[in-house]
Amino acid sequence: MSRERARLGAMASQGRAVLVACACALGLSIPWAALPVSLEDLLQLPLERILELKVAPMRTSHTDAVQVAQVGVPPAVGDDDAA
Amino acid sequence: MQPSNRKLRTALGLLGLLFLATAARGDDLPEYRLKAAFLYNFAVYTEWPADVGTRLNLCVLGQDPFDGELQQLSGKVIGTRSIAVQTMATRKSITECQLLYIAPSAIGELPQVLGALNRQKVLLVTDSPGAARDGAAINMAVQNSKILFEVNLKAVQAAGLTLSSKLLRLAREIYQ
Repeated sequence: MSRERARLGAMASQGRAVLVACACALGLSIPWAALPVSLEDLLQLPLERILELKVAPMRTSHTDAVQVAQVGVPPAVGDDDAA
Repeated sequence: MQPSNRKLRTALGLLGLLFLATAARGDDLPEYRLKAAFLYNFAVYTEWPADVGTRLNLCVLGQDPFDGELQQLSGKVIGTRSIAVQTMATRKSITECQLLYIAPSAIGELPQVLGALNRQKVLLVTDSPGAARDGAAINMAVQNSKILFEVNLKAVQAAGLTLSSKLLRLAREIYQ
């Protein structure tokens, strides 16, 4: 069962590659959101390339969340403790 | 294999490479999918002493933020070692890990983890602000929508590990 699923997964991956290649050859723009890059795809890339990839804005990182919390809340009027 | 079949596979392989080349231009990937790829690369570019054995335990301490992505690394082979991914709710067995990632939910335990790992051959990875300066070997961060990492070389050396020059070259910051 798992072997069959793996085979189907490989076929799907190959089919996706064909579609992307055709779209590139025809000069069409590719909707990446509808065509997600899997972790398996990422593992084939050199680290230099992974460093260039952008993080989706939907899932805010911990770091960004802290920064938003620090700069995004205006001090309340009349609040003596506000910095 | 028949010649036509071989040609088809070669063509698919080339198309796949084309996909990967174009994928590198793509953007907006889930943060923790990218971070899982980083963890894999950290393992690839780290040298553990030979006595560590043939299993590379990649552990997550705290609430797993990878949404199941990290499990895909289980069974992958790096050199002579096979990756085994484990999620840990407590610090009890962290000395059995070769790469320990502390999730943001457990970053408050960093001082205790550092105490427990004293000179153990464990690569400690975090993604919390200031963690590399506080003793983690590698810390990831998001800046301008891209993931970067910083290295605490003293912590790496204290653990008896060696990072490749390539990894050090790509680090945003190296703390000595």
